[in-house]
Amino acid sequence: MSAFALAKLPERALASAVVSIRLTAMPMRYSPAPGVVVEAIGYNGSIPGPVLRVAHGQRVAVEYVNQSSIQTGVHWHGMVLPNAMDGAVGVTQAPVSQGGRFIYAFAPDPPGTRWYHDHAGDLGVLRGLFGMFVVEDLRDEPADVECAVIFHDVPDFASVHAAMMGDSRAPMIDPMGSPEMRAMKPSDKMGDEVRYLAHCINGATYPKTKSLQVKVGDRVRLRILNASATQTRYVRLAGHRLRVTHADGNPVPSPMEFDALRIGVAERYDAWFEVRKPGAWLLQGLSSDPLAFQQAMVVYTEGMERAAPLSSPQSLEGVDYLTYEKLGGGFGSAVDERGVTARANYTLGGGAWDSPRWTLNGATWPNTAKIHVRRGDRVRVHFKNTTDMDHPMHLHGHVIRVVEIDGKPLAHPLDKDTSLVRSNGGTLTWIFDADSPAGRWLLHCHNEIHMMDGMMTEVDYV
Amino acid sequence: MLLHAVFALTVVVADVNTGAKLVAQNGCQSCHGVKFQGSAGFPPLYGIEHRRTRAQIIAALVSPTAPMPNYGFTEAQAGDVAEYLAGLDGGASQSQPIISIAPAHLVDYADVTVRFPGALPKTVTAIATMAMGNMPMKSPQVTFTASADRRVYKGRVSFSMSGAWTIHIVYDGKTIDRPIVVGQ
Repeated sequence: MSAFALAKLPERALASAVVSIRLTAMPMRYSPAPGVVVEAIGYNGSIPGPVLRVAHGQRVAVEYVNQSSIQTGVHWHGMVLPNAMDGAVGVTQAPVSQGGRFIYAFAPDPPGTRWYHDHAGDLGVLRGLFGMFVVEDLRDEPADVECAVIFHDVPDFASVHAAMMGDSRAPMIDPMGSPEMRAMKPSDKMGDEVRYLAHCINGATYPKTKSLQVKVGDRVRLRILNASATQTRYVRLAGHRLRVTHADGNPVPSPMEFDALRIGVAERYDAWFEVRKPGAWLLQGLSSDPLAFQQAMVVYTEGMERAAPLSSPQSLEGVDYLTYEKLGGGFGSAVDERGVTARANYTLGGGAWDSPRWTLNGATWPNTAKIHVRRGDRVRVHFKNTTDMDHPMHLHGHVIRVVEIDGKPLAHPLDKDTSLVRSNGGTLTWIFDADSPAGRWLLHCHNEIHMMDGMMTEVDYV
Repeated sequence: MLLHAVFALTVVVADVNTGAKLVAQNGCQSCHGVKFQGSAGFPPLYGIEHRRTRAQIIAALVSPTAPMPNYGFTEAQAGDVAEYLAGLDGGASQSQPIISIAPAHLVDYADVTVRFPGALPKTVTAIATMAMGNMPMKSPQVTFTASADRRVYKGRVSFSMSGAWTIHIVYDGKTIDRPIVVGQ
């Protein structure tokens, strides 16, 4: 069984109040697919890094060492923790350079599917510095089989640099029938896409991806993370619908079933299915890339490991996929703005051909307008997206509540830490409580290119 | 007295362009190589029609052996894919045009050479498209020029962007689609 299949935590692991973890960024040669070899960096020499697991209530002491030549820092994505532990290099800590060391000590909170990744502005995530962090909620419904499923892509670095300059010639590879493809207009100049050499699940490409063995009758929980630096991911398990119970690790208003999940960069969904008959099925990331098939892993019942697994078409035509609107129970009458004491509005802009600028209200980091809050404030943040790409906006150190999409209030707001703002005039509103430890918390687009090109600001506790 | 039986003959004509589309949509090149040259553990599909019968190819597509996934192809669809694969190196049939595309790694352009073993065409043109939602990307149309021996036509198709393009070669009202991958 692979390291990504999550067995029940042993009693012994739950007994200690503090879990000690050693994490080392190591340079490595990485071959995710036949004929593809890249110089990469992995935590403890593996891509993705180890799946970190603790029970909610335990503390961690992470001794982090950087053996690579880039500047690094570890961000604990989706955690509410002391500001100095947030890992945002240049904001909450100095970079950890080659040979450097940093101790991250905190109580992982809230429970759920979180992750950790580099956050130092040296393209660490694109080089392989990311992994899943599961904070077990012992109150959760138990699963018979549980598995971490990390979707990620291995970039061609020449195209990364071109995309940052806005003159990349790489195409969109979203699947046919996706909102990304449907939103394309003749005036779209592109220039911002990264070309990928390999599309992976848990470090490998099909058929080298690790399979997951299940039994008839099993209720299976997949903890799915989209760790791609730029690509929204569409995930489908052939022959099954997926029941979503958690979004970004947080319980959804009511669990709901879909044919496919639409997962923005950095988002996570906990998706369940029941095994009703013997078989072999592919869990796939769909795309229109000729290499699309690489991003697949087999789920099979015993005895079916040699069977040709059932696959899904690389298209979303007629497919019922997850949207915030569906997950939020449709639209309601009004946003509950009771108690809101601070407001901020951001227009997402930039991204012109040949331009290295992605902007918030026309400015790029560090000149963007900041949100100043007092502890105890309830903050409403409104985004309007004038660009031709969706933006996965992420706030460090808080759980945000998605309350409005495209001018319409969600019937049941969604608790998240990252949410996609639709392209071409789309809007989205968050409400969050400024009750995290005081400090400077970054708010940015999680598309690595857009963040590097300036689409970032911060929430500053005064 | 002769009993005349009427046979309803269903002639299934495999459609090479449907085959090309199925190959592109299902990501066959992920494992079998962008030029179908094969890769570690995966057989080359280029020239497969010389190594397997058509029936074997169809059977392999309809009832695959792992790690080859089951795409749910019908026999007709599998026939279309087989027809397309058979055409990669000019085809089993002597009358089909033989297409070669250079260079091996396509970036800005493709030099397309078409050899007509049978009837000579009046004109040969080509255009390349890439499906991008409601807006297909299109290359400028190119008119091919005939070489001295009149059987060989050449033309250069250029690309504005990398990705999964299809070159459509048109001659005498017929079209041959050839999916390619353009890098950068």
